[in-house]
Amino acid sequence: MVTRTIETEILFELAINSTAATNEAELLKKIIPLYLRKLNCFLAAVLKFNSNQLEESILIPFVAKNSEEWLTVKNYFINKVQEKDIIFEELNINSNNYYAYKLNSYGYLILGRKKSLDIILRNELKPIINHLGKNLQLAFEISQRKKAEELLQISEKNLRTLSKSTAASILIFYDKNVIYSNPAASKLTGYSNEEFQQLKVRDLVHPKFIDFIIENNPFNPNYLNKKNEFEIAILKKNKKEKWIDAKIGKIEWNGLECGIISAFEITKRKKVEKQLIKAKENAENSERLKSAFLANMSHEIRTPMNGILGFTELLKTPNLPQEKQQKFIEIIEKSGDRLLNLINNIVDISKIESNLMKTLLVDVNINEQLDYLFTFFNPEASAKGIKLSYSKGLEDAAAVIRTDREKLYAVLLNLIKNAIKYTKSGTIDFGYNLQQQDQDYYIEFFIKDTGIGVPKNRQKAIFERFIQADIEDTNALQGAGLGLSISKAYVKMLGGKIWIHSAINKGSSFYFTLPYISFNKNESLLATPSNTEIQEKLNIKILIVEDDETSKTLITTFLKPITNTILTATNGIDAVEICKNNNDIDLILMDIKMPLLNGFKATEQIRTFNKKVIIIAQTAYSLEGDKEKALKFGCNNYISKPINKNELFELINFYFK
Amino acid sequence: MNKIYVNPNNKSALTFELLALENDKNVRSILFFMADENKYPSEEITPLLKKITKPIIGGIFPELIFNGERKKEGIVLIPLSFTLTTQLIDLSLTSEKIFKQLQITQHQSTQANSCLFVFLDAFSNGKEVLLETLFNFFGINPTYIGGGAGSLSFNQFPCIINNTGIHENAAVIGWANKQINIGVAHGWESISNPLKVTETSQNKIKSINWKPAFQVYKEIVEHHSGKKFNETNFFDIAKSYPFGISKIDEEKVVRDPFKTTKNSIHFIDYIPEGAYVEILHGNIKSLLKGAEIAKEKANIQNLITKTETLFCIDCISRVLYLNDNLQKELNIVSKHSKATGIFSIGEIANSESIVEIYNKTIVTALW
Repeated sequence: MVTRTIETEILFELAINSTAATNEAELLKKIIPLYLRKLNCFLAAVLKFNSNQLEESILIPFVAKNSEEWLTVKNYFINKVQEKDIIFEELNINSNNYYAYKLNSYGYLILGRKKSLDIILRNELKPIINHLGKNLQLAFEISQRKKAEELLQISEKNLRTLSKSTAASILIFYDKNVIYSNPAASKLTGYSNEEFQQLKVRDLVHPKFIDFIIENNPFNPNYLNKKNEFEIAILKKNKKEKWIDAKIGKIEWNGLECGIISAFEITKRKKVEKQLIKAKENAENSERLKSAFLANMSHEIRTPMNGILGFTELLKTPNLPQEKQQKFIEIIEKSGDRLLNLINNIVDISKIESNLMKTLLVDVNINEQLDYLFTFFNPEASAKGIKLSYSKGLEDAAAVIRTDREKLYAVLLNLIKNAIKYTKSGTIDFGYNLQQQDQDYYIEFFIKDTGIGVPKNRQKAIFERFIQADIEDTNALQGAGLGLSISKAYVKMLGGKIWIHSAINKGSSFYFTLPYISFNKNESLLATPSNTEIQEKLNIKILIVEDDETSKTLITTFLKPITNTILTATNGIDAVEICKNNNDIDLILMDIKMPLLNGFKATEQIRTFNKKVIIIAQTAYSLEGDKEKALKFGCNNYISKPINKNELFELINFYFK
Repeated sequence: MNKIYVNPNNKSALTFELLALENDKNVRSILFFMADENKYPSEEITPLLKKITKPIIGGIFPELIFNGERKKEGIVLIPLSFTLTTQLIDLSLTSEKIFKQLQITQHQSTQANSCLFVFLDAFSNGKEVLLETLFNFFGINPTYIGGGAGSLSFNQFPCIINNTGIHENAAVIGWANKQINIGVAHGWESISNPLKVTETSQNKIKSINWKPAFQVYKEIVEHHSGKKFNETNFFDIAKSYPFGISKIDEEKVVRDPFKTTKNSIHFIDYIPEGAYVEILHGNIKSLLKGAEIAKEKANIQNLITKTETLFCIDCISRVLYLNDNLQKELNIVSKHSKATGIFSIGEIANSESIVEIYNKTIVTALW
């Protein structure tokens, strides 16, 4: 009776303790020693199923592990299970009793005992131990699940840490919507994590790449794994463009099948690549242009040279009528001029490129410049049937700027000359306006024509040297294509910029700017011309040596108010001759570039017989060396063309007042 | 081998005997037992112990047995002809830590039919943990024999001896690849129905059958003895009425009550909550019968051709109970060979399989 009570109590205690824990290891650690002690066993072990194989998972005592008896017992029960022999619950070996109890699907509990177990107790243990097996299996599954969850959590934590610490920008999207972004993505785009959650992937992509992204979306039914790595442009929050090297793929995120984009910014690399490509194209272009330039230059030199040599040869023809002789000489002269102009341009561009071109800043009245240019070009324009007009944006008194007169003149001259050259009919209007930007004033010049226009894709190129040589439709236009590149260089040297608005067959409008000194300063500068104004006649005899009729007229107009005696010559020979015949001449305004005998040679000859006369050379704008040369050949001074009235009067005052 | 008794306060004799054992090539290990009364202080005995290179294990016990006689003082030395693999264990350690230490020091102590001597601080809280751990490690390979050291003053003090000195709250074990035979018996008989221990706290039973423990105990004992408990006579009566823990297929494990407070009963050793207990009672005759059974059990198991030693571990509370009849008990166990051993506070043995701490029990061992 007592024994049964103890047994019942033991069974009850074993049953109670079989259900208390949910952790497999803890349950085993607690329950197996309890079975051992309560049932007065000397051995307790659990054989656990692992992939349908029984493996020893716990054994008490420790020293039994390597005992032969235990190995025999263990193998016996394992073999019985494999043989599916269900009658194997007991094994007697070396006077010891071993019992195997099924732990449901978990495995088997083996108990070793000196005395055999009472048959009733043995059977009553079965459901309790089976129930323990169920709990162990449950605890095992829970622990496996927990382990899997823990591994998943660790994995996710690692992934998040990686995502947060990586320099790569990472976006995860589901159904086109961004659902995760890492700090690097925020840094790249300027969007906060919260802002990202409101965006679709396409919101971030530069419009020109949206189709590409749709095509390469791994969820696109037509996606053929064509490309999962690519370079595209994106738009930052501030709408600035950035380039990225991106990879796209799929990922399971929070149970959803999502897309993942990882990217590195490559904007700088792209910029460098672009520059390299540009540099390569430029180099190729330059090479091509040089070849074209050389071909063109050859043509440009050969044509006038052909004229000179050809007509010189014709001049040798015996008994050539005077008229033809004169015509041939004019042709030779024009060809020579054309050749000289070409050479001057080449000299200028060489100086610009080698940084030898200097600026000489003086006060220049731009109204006078325009007056002169209009007077200079109007006959030529009229001859082509073009209406030439000009406008001045300032009163004469205020139209004085400090700049390099010759370079400004050269720019205007070149632009107007081009306008006439490329306009068949219609109008040419030039002039300037005073403009203001912030605190600074500047003069904006314009030259507008109704000519052939410049195609959009050429509008930048025409300011590059040798470019005209590359224009396919030269259409009988002369020139080596250096004028605009020289003009651009000059404007830049004078602190301005030059540009063009043009449409094909509608005409071109060239603009350039120059800095304008403050009004106050200008006013003080403006006072100077009035001082140099010569009020009374000087009674001096002046010889104007000038082959260009317009220039001669202009200078004559300037000088008429101060003298009644003005002589003129159109070449050096005439000038020498006139001097010989008029030894009372006080002042000679000597042009340098003249046919038959140039200004230097003429001066040299005049000095052989007249040391007193004041000779002022009119030097060309482009050839700075001319000034020194003029003094060397005997000129007293020089004045740059186009002639500035005030400057001229200053010189006259200096010598005659 | 000759067991040695050394009188108290004779250090030179002790030194001589120990050095003699050290130099005796037949002696491989030494069991060292010192009586609580007139014991040597630690600082005197430790240098001596350290001089001995052969394994020494033992302790300080309330009294000793030498050649079948009770010794209240002095030292008993039992030379062993086999080598002990000894280990000092700190009883404040967890089971896992002790197990790990065993794996290091006792990894070769795996043979069956071996023996394991266990002497531990009787007043340590780590006793049950140690015994569980020892069994989880060694199983039934060895025969366990040993006892609880300490003093009847019930105060805890350094009482475990090994080659490094005397240690408190500790145990010392010695495993040997040597078969020994033991007999465990007590001679106490049940006078009650099974009682369920319904509430415990450490070594204290608070309730039995969901009633205050002392009230249940008092009712049974007073009825059986015809004596009445008062404030001072608890131990005088209780020493004749110990508890017996019922076990399947085993002798009852006796537990000795020594005092009562607030209806709770205090024991030297642990009684698990939920256990079934019975109130036991014995008389001189039954206890002496127990001694006879213990001696017989050891002899029945006799596989030994030549007995070297008859080792006896008798409970000090049996001494208190038997008084003048104690010598009769010693004479019973010493019938064929003079018993030498200890009077302990709790006896350690495994009569069938699980190692237990018994109270009021006599354990005899033959090797």
